[in-house]
Amino acid sequence: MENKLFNVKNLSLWYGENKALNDINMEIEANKITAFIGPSGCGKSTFLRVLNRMNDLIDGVKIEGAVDFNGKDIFNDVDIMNLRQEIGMVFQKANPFPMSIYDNVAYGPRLFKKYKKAEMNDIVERALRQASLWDEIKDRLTTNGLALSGGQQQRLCLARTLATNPQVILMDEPTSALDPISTSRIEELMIDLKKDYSIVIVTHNMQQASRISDTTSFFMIDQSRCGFLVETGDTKDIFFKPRDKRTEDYISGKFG
Amino acid sequence: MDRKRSNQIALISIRIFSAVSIAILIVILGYLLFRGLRYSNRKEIKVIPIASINNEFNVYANKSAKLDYLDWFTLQSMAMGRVRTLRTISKVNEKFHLYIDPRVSDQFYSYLATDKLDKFIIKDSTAINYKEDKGGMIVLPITESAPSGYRSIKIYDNVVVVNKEVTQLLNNKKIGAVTLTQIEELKNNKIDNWNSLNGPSLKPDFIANASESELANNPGSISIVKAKEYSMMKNVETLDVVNIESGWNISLDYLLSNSEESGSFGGIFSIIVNTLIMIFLVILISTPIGLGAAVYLSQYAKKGRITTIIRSGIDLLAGVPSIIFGLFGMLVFVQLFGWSFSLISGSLTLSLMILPTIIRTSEESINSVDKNMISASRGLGATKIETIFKIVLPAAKNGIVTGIILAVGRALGETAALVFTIGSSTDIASKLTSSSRVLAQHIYLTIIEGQSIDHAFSAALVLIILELIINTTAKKLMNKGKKNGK
Repeated sequence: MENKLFNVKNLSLWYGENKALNDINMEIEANKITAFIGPSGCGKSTFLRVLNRMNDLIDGVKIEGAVDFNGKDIFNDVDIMNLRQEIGMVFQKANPFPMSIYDNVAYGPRLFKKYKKAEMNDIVERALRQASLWDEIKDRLTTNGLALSGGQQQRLCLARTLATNPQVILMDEPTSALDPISTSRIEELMIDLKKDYSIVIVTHNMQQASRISDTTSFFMIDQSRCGFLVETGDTKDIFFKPRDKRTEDYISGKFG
Repeated sequence: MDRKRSNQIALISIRIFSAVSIAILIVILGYLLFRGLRYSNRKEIKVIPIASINNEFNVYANKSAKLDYLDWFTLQSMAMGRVRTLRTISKVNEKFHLYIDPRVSDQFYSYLATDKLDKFIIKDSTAINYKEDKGGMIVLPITESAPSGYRSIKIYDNVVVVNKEVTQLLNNKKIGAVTLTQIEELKNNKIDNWNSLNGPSLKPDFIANASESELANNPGSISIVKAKEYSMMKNVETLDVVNIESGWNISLDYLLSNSEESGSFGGIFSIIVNTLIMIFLVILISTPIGLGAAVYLSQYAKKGRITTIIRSGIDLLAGVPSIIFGLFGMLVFVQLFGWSFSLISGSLTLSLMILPTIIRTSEESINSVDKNMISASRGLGATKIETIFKIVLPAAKNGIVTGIILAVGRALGETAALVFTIGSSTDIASKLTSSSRVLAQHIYLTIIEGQSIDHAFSAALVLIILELIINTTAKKLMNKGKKNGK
């Protein structure tokens, strides 16, 4: 029980009139990599965005059910800004801010506290080292974040998230726009980061899920285009002896 | 028709149209530049514009009097004390003073064929500060050199005289002014008939140094005589001569001196200063309001009927003719608020006029900011307002600045919205509620009030250069911004 990070109970979500997620129950454990897989449009990204309440930014989203984070209801008991600081997010498309590399990384911490210059330098260096970007860009911290390559930009976004010292990192298909080499670097990073952070990743790449994740959840979509959770289990079990027929079909490539 | 051929025709027509439009632009810009820099006026004068040599005295005028030449008749009225200011003679508004050296006073007045006026003859030359007298004119013996700050003036005193029949009105036609070339041709008997110059059907007959009786008795006769001789003749007529006066229209002096008498004289310094103050005020008023509205509309306003109505209202206002903003400004700022015709009334009217443009362009560039960036900022725990100030507005900066500059460019060239609101004083505005005028409106007023077309053109040149400076600075700022992280 003590390792339980998220506890999702009977979660349903509507975009206006359309139901997008139906009755999801799930537990996510700390210091593990949890992968969400499933066909396109099955709501796995939407569900990911529920976890740090990013869906609040979209007009007309209605949520029912409860999500507990460290035992606290994220919809009622937690300040949304602190929640997002605790639960960082890396997006599908690398989206550095149009400012220097240093300012990109310092952006998050500066929102919450006024740091001294030396402290801030330490935070930036630590975050960039964790994202294994430090050695590549330590001489040009003042250049624009947009001047980096695609893989570097994604690692910069990761460093930016790490700088706020979160407990959880949510990753929404972080490598889908990257080449294989950049992808493998990010994957190595995730495995390194597992020691200190919990990671939840949405991926379309089944090999990626099987390579890096400890736990896998399989989502599917029903006739009314509403997503639901099929099963959650150890990655090995899901990929090699799935309990559900639909999981087996998806993994063996019969649909998807 | 095969495709190759139609491609060729399309390409040729595109080239022709682009060449035509570029040519039109170059012609317009070139003409404005030329007219702004140089003036060239056709004037009809009573004498031949060729300086004659005088071996008794020289006439000098203060350099600030801007006199190049004088015709004998003007010089005569000056010497007779009939000229008090130089405003009708040169382009300056200065009091006129004549100083005649006693050694040449007899010769001078005999040359002008009038009686001596003692008040102009210098008694004690040390008592007069010639240099300070901007409208001063000195007559000195030929042996003396020009006083400092003075320059020599050419005197034109040759008159074209003709028999009276030549200038008669015939069939609603009358001979006009002649050019120097035509005078040369008449001299060499190359013109067969006066009717080729719009005159009667008579043969021109040039008589050198003709007497009055020779001219009076000889229909079609023409001669060139000294003005002094002409002033004794009665039964003859003169022909006016075309003189093209040209010179620099714009000078440092013009840029740095204040306007006098509604722009007829003086420079445009005060008007440039007023224009800059007005632009500053307009930016100060319209930017925060417009930006606030743009942020609200793009980030906060819920999609619905009211927002749609507001948006179409803004679009409508952006297309409303400026004169209507002028009317509104007059009724509200000038009359209702009682600020009268003043800098603040005009600036507020212009701010209102450009507000829709600023709102729309800012909103567009805010909307074009990458939504992912906004999500990233919110995902790091930033509030909406923090995201707007730290991410959205900096990222949309270029578009916003461009919009503001375009709008300010429109305000800079605006006249109609200002005629009812800003007033027309040519002084530098000392307070917000003082009447003032700005460059575009100055051009309009100088033409409308018939003050000076040359001054209108030089003001136009200054206005164009001002717009150019604003545009290039903006572009430079934007490029600099791009290098330092967009």
